[in-house]
Amino acid sequence: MPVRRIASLILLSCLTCLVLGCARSSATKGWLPVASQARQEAFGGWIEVKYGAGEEEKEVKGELIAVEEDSLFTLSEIGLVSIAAGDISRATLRAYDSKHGTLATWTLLGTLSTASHGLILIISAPVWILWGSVTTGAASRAPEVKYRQEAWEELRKFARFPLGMPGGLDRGHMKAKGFW
Amino acid sequence: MALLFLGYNCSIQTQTRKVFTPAQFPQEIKSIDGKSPFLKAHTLSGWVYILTDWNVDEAAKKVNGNGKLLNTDREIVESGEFSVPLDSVALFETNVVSTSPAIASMAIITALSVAVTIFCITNPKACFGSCPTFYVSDGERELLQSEGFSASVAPSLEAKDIDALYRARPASRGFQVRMTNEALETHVLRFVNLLAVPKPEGGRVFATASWEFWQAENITAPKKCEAEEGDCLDQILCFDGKERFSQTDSNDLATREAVELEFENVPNGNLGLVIAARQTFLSTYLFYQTLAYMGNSAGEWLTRLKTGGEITKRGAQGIRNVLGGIEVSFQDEFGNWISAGVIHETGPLAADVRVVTLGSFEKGPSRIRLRLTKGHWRLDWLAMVELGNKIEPIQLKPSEVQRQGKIDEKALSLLLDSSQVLVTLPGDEYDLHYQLPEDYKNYELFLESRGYYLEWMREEWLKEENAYLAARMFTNPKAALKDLAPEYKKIEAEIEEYFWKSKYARP
Repeated sequence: MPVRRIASLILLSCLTCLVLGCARSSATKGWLPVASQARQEAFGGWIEVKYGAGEEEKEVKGELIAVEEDSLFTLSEIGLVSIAAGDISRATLRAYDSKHGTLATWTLLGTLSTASHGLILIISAPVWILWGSVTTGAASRAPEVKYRQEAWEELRKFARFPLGMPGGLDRGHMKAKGFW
Repeated sequence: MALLFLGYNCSIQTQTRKVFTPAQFPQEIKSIDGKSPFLKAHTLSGWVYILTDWNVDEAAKKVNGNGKLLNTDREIVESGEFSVPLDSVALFETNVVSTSPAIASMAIITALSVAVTIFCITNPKACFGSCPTFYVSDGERELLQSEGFSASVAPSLEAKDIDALYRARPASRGFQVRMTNEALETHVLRFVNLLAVPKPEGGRVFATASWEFWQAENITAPKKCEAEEGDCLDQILCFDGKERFSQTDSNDLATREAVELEFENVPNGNLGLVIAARQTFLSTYLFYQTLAYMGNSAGEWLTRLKTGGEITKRGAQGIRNVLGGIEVSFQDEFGNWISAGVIHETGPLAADVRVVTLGSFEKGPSRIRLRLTKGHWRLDWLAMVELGNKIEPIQLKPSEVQRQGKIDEKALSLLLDSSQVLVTLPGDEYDLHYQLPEDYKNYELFLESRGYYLEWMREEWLKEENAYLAARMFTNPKAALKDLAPEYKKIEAEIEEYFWKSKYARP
């Protein structure tokens, strides 16, 4: 295979990585369960919330605990944070780990493998890249719920308490899902 | 081995979560149809049961199952067999896990910032893009004579295309077609064949929009051509690159116009109207604008296109349908305009030649009207013909494929096996060789291709990401075409020039 072709493939693979890295979560590795595990757990999804405006803009990340009519509650490393709905500019929730990173690695290896001689790999590099979008883009976004693009109510069902904050809950001593 | 290992672990799954009240329980459970092995029952106190092997006892109004009860800190307080009264549950939750439909999707989205020409930087939606382009000699020089499956912009829109090589002039039995990828795109080709149809003595062969091949004689030019701007006869008399086109409406890109033709000495018999035309860059601009609105989510949109079924695919054709094709009508003896047909060949690069059958006449119609969207079509040649026999073409597969002067057996084998595809990247060129019949001069040639292509996102487009506007291109294309009219008007006059100057070429 010509050197130029190999160089092109490597460039394409690098570019693929750039793109496939778009949808990332700030959750600690292992915090988010995979889809099959998530159905057996009862914690909320991982949410990243930007609120406030201009120089006052803040961000909080953590487990989505509850969504009320006018606010949501996030259990972050500093404790239970309440944010008014009207102050939120953007919120992205991830319900589970889509494992798109593994797919990206698979794609990259597949792409690079076609640059070598002798491998039993009949699929050419561009087809690997095509598979890899698998929409690794779409795969990475499947577990996401984005507020303002989607309704407030959509967030609710991914909260630890989908019915809202339970009465009598000791908010100062809530136990987080490890990793803090 | 590493690939196999990753492949094993790589089953990408998605989860669909539903929540519903006890009142909705019976109905919702039926809709799940046993796909959710785990059932969560949330209580008002914040505690939750997670049950497996569950079932509903409707008579006792209970849910039975094996599982665990968790407190508000999600610590297990009890596990084993449970029988939970429905009225003690405030909310049920199910989670159905399935293999991601994205697995089967093939899309490539790459945001690059390449060294583009200054025209692309200032007019990112005028940047060159095309499906596969095919160059064929007219006897003197190579001409761009075909662009394959221009509307197939996603895997789910893969389609066959047949283009007339009307100006091809083979000099021997050996016939060559140069296939190029001159855009920032990935082209996926399933096959590229020639179709050869015997010509009548002194005549030609034309294809209809539904790929019927008709021998034709008595090609008759119109005596008059009238459009909004006045006389357009000179532009449409010959297939010579001199084209009649108009400007779009400033307020609505879907506004229609009419071009009327008059003929004298119209022959009798089975008649057709020959149209050689290509689109302007309006449709390209709208396509790129749609991609810009999709932005980083373009891959997901394409996935939805693949998994959404026929209704979604039809929605995706919304803009194309609103802009429409070239509708042909003829005036009967009573003055009524009778609709004969429509051609709708997508592609702004190479004019395609088609015939619209008008019908059988004792005295042929002298007036023909074309109705088309303003600023959307470039008409090169219009003529009336007398149609003879309908003929089945001979299909000729490539006998050899060359790349950079060397025989490429792999590419040939891929094009000969329609279960495989040949993928090309920007700058790729292939010379496809065919063996024509012995009396090759007596055949009309057509190019038959099948595949799809994927546009590479330009970094400049990502700034316009807007899910609402992207959705509106599909759900309300008429409104979108009104809103986009002012923006398009700003570049309309120069878009053709910008486009050709920004072709991708290997250094």
